[in-house]
Amino acid sequence: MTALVQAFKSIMANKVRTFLTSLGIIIGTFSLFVLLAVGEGAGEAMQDTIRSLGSNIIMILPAPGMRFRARKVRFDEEDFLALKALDEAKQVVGYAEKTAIVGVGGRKFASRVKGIYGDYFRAMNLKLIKGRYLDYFDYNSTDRVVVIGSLLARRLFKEEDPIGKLIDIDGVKFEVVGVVDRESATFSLDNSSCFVGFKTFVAVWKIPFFNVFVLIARNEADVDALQNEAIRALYSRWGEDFIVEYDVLNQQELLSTMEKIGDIFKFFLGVVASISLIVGGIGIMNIMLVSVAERTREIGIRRAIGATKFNILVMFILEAVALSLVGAVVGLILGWWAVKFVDKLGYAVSYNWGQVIVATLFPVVVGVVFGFFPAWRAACLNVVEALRYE
Amino acid sequence: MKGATETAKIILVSSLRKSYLIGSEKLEVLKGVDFEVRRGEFVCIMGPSGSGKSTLMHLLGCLDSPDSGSYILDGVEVSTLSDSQLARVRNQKIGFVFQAFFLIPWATVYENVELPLIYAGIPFYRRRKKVLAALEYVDMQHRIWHKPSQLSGGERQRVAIARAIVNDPTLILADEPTGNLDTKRSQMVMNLFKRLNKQGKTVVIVTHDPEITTWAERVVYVRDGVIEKEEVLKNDSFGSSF
Repeated sequence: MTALVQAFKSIMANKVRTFLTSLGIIIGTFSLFVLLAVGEGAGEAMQDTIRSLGSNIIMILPAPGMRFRARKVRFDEEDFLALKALDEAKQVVGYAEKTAIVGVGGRKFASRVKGIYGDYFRAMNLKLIKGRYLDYFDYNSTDRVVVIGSLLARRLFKEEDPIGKLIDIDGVKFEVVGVVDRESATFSLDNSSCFVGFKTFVAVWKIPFFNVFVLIARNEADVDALQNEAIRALYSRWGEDFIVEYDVLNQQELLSTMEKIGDIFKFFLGVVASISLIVGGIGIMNIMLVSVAERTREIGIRRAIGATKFNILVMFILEAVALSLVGAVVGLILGWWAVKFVDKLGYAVSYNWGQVIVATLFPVVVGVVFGFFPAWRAACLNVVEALRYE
Repeated sequence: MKGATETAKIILVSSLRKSYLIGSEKLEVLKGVDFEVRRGEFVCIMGPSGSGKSTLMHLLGCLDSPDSGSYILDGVEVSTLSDSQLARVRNQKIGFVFQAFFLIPWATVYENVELPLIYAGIPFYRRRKKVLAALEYVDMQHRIWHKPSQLSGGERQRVAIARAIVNDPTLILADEPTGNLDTKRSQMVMNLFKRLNKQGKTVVIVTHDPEITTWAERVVYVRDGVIEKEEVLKNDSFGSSF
């Protein structure tokens, strides 16, 4: 305890240096905490969304990892009709999507545009809060009409009524006919997306195939049969490629797939944050080496009056830990603010004591690891030479 | 002769040798030193620079280990002790006073004096009393929260002496303790050593200043790595056994 107090006193003797050294750890802890909160939040939001869809749902999605590669399977209207023809299917929805810039007046936002075919809104449990859903005529024409998510509506129009207004999507004007909201989820991508008819989507963006199918079974007992029938129908059209490139998932499988994707996502976010922490650790090692050199005489004095090598080792490791702890605490406070801010913006974040503990312990481990080498050097100094050091 | 005198001798050094490697050349600094100090004695080790007296002082202070020979400090053979055992010996049995004071600059007077007690593992509530007593002994209790840089040379050396005695060592080992002080302050510091000696502490001072030797009971002259001669002075000694 005395030693830790001493360590803090010692690093506080040089405040500017302490701050600059801790900066790496501050940034590292900050990003670790924020990325954990955002990653966790996004994961939870996805899970919530899927849970809210009910247990009758089956989704046909590109397999993870297949998303960005060129795929051989390109679903068209015939696939849609083949699925629609299945006895167990109450409802079939197909959609394609892409990222687009949505703007009105001077405001611009990155958003997702979904070109939908079939009643996406009811299948995905999106509630109409203003105007109307897309209708039969919208699905079968290329009229430039759009339904937007509630969060996007708030961003684009603030308190104004968006119905009947024109918005700009990738440079093309669309008339807003409705606003939808998913309230059951803490956060949903759909709340910040735009929805246009599939034929309109093809006309504007020239992507003439579906990315995803959503099937709703007539009742829960039909889900397994529907899943098998859907696989059979699409396999007969696309063969092995379909099996390789697509997953046909029921609600349970969707949840576990989302969890897996979420874990991978979090892992990579964690790696990114860890890299900045390690860079911070190298900064600490650097300054500790300088400190050991500067305080060679002091080390000699301490050894002369009875400090063992171990005492010196512990002293410098504790100083490194104190440095990283200062960084961790500052980084956490800043991170906490940032996460609250992101939360207020309406994005999904999730933070708990577990993340706080991880974001504090990790820097401390970094301090011990990177403080060890300088401390070992200090401990191994020859007492007589250290005392003579000018 | 032995037995009774054994415990009376706080330092018993025989055929102590130490050499250093300078580049590829081996430099023999101590070439077999035989030497002893009785408990309660006030001894000066004199010698010109390069005589090996500093090396001798480092060995006596357990800051370094000899190549060969034996060194019995307060009944314990220390020449074969491990690094951490030596640290313990330095902490428990020896109080160092250096020419350049060697106080830790960013620590207060109090913290400097407290340091040996921390390494001795004494709990904080028992340290305070000891630190204050040591500072009172050297009449520095009014400067407890000052930093060494705010003190004069004489004051710094008194703080260093307080640090040397705080853990109640049996041997006070001083290396040119007045080297950085003027005459008046030297007198004050030497008086402190004399007082400590009268109260039973063994004091060994390494110096090249003949003025200092007048305070001692006995002067040991070192030259070219061996003891050249010894001289017993008529001083009113308290601990001397003759």
